[in-house]
Amino acid sequence: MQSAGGLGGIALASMLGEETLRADEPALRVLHHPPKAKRVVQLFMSGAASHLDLFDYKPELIKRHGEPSDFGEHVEVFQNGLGPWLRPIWDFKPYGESGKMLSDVVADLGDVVDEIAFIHNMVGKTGVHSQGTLLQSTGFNRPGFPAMGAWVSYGLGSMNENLPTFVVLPDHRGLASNGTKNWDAAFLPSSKQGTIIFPSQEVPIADLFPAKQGDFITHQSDAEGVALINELGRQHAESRPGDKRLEARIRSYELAASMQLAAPEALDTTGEPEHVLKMYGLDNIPSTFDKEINALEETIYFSQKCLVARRMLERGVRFVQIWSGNDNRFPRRNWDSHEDINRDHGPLSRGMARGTAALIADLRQRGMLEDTIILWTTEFGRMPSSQGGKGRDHNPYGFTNWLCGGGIKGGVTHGESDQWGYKPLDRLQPTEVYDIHATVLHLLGIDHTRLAVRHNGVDRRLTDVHGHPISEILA
Amino acid sequence: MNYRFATVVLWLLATGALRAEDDFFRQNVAPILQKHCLSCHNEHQKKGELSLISADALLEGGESGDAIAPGDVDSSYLIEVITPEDGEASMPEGQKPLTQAERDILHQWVADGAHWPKGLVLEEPLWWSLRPLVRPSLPVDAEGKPLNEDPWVRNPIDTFILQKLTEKGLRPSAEADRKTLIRRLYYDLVGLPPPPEEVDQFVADPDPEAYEKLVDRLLDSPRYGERWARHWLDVVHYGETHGYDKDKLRLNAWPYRDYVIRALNEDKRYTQFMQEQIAGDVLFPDGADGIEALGFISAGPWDHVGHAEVPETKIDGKVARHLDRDDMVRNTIMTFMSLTIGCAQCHEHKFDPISQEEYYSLQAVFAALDRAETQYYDDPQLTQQRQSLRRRGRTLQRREYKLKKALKLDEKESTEENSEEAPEETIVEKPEEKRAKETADKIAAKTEEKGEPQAIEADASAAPDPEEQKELAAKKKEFEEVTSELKEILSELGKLPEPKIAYIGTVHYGAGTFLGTGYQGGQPRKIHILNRGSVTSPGKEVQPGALGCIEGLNPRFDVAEDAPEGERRKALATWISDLRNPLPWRSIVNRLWQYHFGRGIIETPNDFGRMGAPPSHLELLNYLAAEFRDHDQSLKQLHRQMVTSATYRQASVAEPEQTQQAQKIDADNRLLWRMNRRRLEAEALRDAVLQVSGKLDLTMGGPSFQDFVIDKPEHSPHYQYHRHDPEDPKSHRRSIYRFIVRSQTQPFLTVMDCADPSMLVAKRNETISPLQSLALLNNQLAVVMSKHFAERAATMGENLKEQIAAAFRLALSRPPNEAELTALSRYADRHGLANTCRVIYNLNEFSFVD
Repeated sequence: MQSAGGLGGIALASMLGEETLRADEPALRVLHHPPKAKRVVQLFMSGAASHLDLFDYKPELIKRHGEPSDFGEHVEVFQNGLGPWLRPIWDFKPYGESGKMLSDVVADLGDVVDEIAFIHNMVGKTGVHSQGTLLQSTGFNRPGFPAMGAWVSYGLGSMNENLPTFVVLPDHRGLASNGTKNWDAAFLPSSKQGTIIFPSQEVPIADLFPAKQGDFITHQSDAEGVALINELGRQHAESRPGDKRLEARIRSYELAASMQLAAPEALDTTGEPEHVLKMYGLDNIPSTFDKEINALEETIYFSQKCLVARRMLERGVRFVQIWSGNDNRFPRRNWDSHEDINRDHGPLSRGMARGTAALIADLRQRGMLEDTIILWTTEFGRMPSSQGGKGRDHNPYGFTNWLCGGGIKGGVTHGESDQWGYKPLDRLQPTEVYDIHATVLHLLGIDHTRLAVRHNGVDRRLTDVHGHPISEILA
Repeated sequence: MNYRFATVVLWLLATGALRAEDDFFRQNVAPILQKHCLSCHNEHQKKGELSLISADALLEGGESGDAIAPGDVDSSYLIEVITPEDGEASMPEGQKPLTQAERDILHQWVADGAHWPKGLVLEEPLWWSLRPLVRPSLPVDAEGKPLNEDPWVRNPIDTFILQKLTEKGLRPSAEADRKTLIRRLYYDLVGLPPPPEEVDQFVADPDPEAYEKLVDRLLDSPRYGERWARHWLDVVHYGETHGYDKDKLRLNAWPYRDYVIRALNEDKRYTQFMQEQIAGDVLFPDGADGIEALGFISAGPWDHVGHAEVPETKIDGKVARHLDRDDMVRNTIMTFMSLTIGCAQCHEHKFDPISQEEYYSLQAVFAALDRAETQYYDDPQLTQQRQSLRRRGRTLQRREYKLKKALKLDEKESTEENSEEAPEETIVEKPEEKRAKETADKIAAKTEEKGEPQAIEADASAAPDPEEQKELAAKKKEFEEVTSELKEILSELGKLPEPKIAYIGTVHYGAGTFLGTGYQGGQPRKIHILNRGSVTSPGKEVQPGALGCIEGLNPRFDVAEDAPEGERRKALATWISDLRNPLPWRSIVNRLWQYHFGRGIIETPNDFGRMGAPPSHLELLNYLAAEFRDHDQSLKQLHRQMVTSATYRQASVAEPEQTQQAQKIDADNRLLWRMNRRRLEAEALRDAVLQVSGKLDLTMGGPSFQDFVIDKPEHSPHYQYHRHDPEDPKSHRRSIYRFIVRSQTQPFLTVMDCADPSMLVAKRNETISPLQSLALLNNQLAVVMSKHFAERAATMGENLKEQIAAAFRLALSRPPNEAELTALSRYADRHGLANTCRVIYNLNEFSFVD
C-alpha cells in the first residue's frame, strides 16, 4: 500500500469489512525491494549514555585531561558541565580484526566487535531527555508519533500471530522518560503498539490471564466461556451479513487463546542449556543483590531481557525494544551521569555489554544474525568536559549509535566525531536519527519515503521529510 | 485568384481556427488547470517556481525548466509529470492522477501548439471549505419536484441523502425497530445502555411522537454533556499530566472538563463556546466559565524539563517554548477551523494557502501565555482583587529575593546553573504567612547573632568602605520596607475566602527558571519567523494576526503593541467566530455528523484543506452549517435534527436485495443507504460494564478519580494501574471523570482505542485485536464487575434461567432467544453466574451498536 491510502484503507475496512481486518495484516503487501533482514532489536540506553567512555576513543582527551576545557566556541550545555576536559573513565584497547578501540567497561563486546558498524557523528536536536528520547524512538521530538517498532509492525505485519508483533522489555525498575509514548502506535492501529513484557515480574504480560480477583474463573470455565462467546457471536453475525469486524472479533478470541499458550512458552527460559545461560551470565543468579548499583545485578536484569528477546525473535516477533535505565531520580538507575560516570555507567555498561554480546553471539550461532538487525541507541551523548569533577553534562551535538546483523557491514566506523568527541568532525555531514531509521527500514525492504500514513492533513513518515539510508555501512 | 480575397479567406480561416482554439482552451483545458494545478501553481504560491495562470507564466516555466514544449507532447514536462506509473503520478502532488479523459485533453492541447487565448489570466478557484457559507436550497428530483414530498423524508437532511441515493439508483433502508433505536440513541446521546424498563416502555409506547420525546429526554439528561464532552476532549487533547519527562500531575485541570460538560448541557451558543475557550477571561469576565474555559489553551502536553529546568534564554528553552506555542496554535486552528497549520512553521504550507508569516502571527497571539494554575472566584470582583494582590506580592517577593541575595541573607547559595532571579516559593494561601514569619524571624536572628546583616560575609581584615556601608544600609532599609509591604499583602490575601484553582493558559508569575511573562507586565514575548522552524535562525518579527485565506476578514489584528495580551486573544476569538468565517460552522457540523453516523461528511474532520478528504454531501453540510450559524447555534438542535432524520433511523442491516445492489455502487455506504453499525468506544464500553453491574456512580464533576497507584511521586511519578484496587468505589464513576495520564495511558482503555491525550484526535482508530479480547476477559475491572453483575442478576430472578435472562437484558437491551438462553444456562449450570456474566460482557453484541 502506498502513501495516501495508508490508514484510509484500514478505516474503510473497519467500516464495512471489505478487506479482512486482522491485526497482523501488513500494510505493505509487496516490499519496495528485496529485504536483507526480517527482525529488529532496538537497545535503548535511557538517560544518555556516554559515547566517550564506551565506544568513541579520544586520545586527545587523555592528553588534555584536567586542562580547562576550551571548545574554541561558545557552548551551551544543559546544566553547568563545562569543567576541565575529562578523560575516558576506563582505558581503551583494540579488539577483533578491525582493531576497533573499545573501553574496558564494554570489553565483552570485543568478541563481536567485527559484526558492528559504529556511527560516531550522530547529532540530536535538544539536550532535553524527553525530546531526545522521543526523537530516537519515534523520529519526532514531541509526543504523538508512532514508534519505529509500530511502523515496522504496521508495514510488515506479524510472522506469528500468536505473539505480539512488537514487544517491549522496559527496565525492570520502571519506564524511561515519556513512558509508553516511546512504543506508541499513535495514529497507527492500536494493535501496532509495543506490548510490554516484564519477564521477571509475577504478571509478565498484562491481562494475559484472569486478574487475581477472578477466583471464580477456572481453566475449564475460561475455555468453555470463549467457545460460548464465539458460538453466540457467530449467531449474532449471521443475521448481520457483510460486517467483517464481527468475524474478526470472533477470530481475535481464538488468537487470544493461542497467545495464552504461546507467550508463556516463549518467556520460559528454564529449558535453556547451561552453556547458553553461561554466555548470558545467567547461570548463577543470586537470590539477593547489594543495595548499591552493581554490575552483577545489572548483568542479570539486562541479560534476562536479551535472552527473552532471542526467544521472542525465534518465534517470529518482528520488533523487540530493550531498555536499560528508567527515569531520572536518585540514586541514579539510568545513564544520566551528571555526578559520577564511574558510579552509574560502570555497572550499567558491564551489564549491557555482557547481555548484548551474548545476544549477538547467540543469534549468530543460530544463523539468525544475518536477518536480524540490532540497533544500539540512546537519546544523546555526554560532554568531553567534566561536570562537578566526575560527571558529564548532556551532549546533543554529538553521540554514538551502532548497528549490526542483517545487512550491516561489520567492523566499520562511519562518521567520526571531532578531536574531543564534542561534535561531528565534518559538521556539515552529521548523521541524524532519520538516517538510522531510513537504514533500518531499507534493510527490511522498505523505502522510508514510501511508508506513509495521512494523518491530520500530512502524509506522516517515520523519517518526517528527512533521512537517507547510510550506504557506507551496508554489507 | 484575387489577392485580397485570398487574404480575407485566410484571415477568416485563421480567426475561425483561433476562435476554435480559444474555445477549446476555455472549455476544456482551463477547467483542468483550475481544478488540479492552480492551487499550487499560481502567482501567490508558485510551487517549483511555476505558475500556470497565464500564457506568459506558462512560457516562463519553473524550477525544472520549460513546462511544455508546444507541439511536442513527448518533450513536455507537464505531460510527463501527470502521466501515471503504476497508478500514481507525481502531479498533482498527493492527489489521484488525472483521468484518462483529462490527460487526453492536455495531450491534444500541447500537440496542437498549446494555444492560450490572448490576455487570458486564469483565476485560482477557491477551495470548497473556504468558499463563503451560503444556505443552499433544498434539492429537487429530476422533474423539479421538491424531495421533501417523498414519504420517506422526515426532515431536510433526508432530502439531500435521498437525492444522492436516487442519483445512483439506490434507495434507503427501512426504519430500525424500536428496540434497536432506543439502544442506538442511548449510546449515541448519553453513552450508556438503556435500562430494560425504558426499553419496554418505549417499545410499547403508542405515542407517535415517542421517538422525538425520547430524544428530547436524552438531550436534557446531564449524561448528555458527559458523553459529548468526551468527544470534545479527544479533539482538544485534554490530559491531566504534563507528558514528556517526569510527567507530573495537573491536579487542577478538571475545571475545564467540567466547563465543557456544563457548556454542552446548557447548550451554549457555539460562538460563545468558541470565544470562551480562547479569550473567556476578556470577553466573558462575569463568571468562572470565562476562566475555566481557558483550560482549552493548556489542554495539551507541556515539557516540564524544557520549561522548569532550562531558562528561556537557552536554545533548549527556546525550543520547548516554541513547541509549546505551536501546540496552542495547532489546537486552536484544528479544533475550530479544521485546518492543518503546523507545517507552516518551517515553510509556507505546501497545500493550503497558509503562509509562514501567518503561522507565526498566530504564535504571537499566545506569546504572553504559559500553562499554569490560576486562582479565581465565581465573583469576578474577588478574582480581580486576589489577582492584583498576588501580582503585587509576586513582584515584591522577587525584589525581596534579590535584596536577600545582595545582603547575603540567603544562607542557601543557589548552585543550580539554570535558576534565574526568582524565589522558589510561590504565593499561596497558608504557606505565605508562614514564609513571611520565617523571613522576619530569619532577619531577626541574623541581626541578633551577627549584628548588622552586611557584616555576615564581610572580610574581617578589610576596613569597611563607607560608600558600601551606605549602600548596604539603603538596601537594608528597602528590604525592611519590602518585607513589611509583603506582610501586608499576605494578610490581605489571608482575609479573602479560599479561591478556586484551575490549570489554564495564562500569564504566569513563576519561579526558578519557569518565570513566565508576569514580571514583564504580561507583555507578550517577541515572535519572529523562524527559518526552517529553527529557533537559532530567527527572521523578521511578526505581529499578532490570523490567516489571509478567509474572504472578508482582515488577518491583521488591530491591536496596539502595548495593549494587554488578552486583546490579542480577543481579536483571534472574534476573528474565528466571525459569521463570515465559513470554517467553524462546517467544522462542528461535520464533527457531530461523524459521531452520529460513524464517519464525517468529510472523513478528515481536522483537515478541510487540500490534503483532506472530499465531502460526500457538500450541499448537506452547507445547509446544516448555515442553518446552525444563522439560527440558535444550538448543538442540541443540531443533534435533534440529525437523530430524528429518517436517515439516522434506518436499520443497519439492509434488505439482501438492496445490499446486493448497493455493494456494487457504494459498498462502503458513503451515501448512507443504511445506518452504520458502530463499535462502542473505550469509555462507553467501560461505563456500560459498570452500569450493567449496578456499580456505576453517577456523581458529576470535581477532581478526577485515579485508577492507579502513584509510585515515586517526588521526582517522576510512576503510574501503576495494576496496583489499583478495582473495588474502590471512587473509581466507579463515569470514564469522563478518570484522571488522564499522558506518559502511561490507561492500559485497558488504550487497548480499546481510546484517544491519546498527546494527539489531536478527530477520529479514533478502530481496531480489533487479540489483546482487546484478553483485556475484556481478564482485566481486573472486567473480572471484578463480572462478579458484581452476577450478584445483581441473582436478585433479579427466581432461578438461574431467569437470572441469566435478566443479566442478558441488562447488557443487551433485549431478552435472549431460546437458543441463547439454553446455551447460557447450560454454561451457567457448570460454571455459575459470575462466569456467565463474564461471557455476556464479551459477546460481540455487547460491543456493537446496530
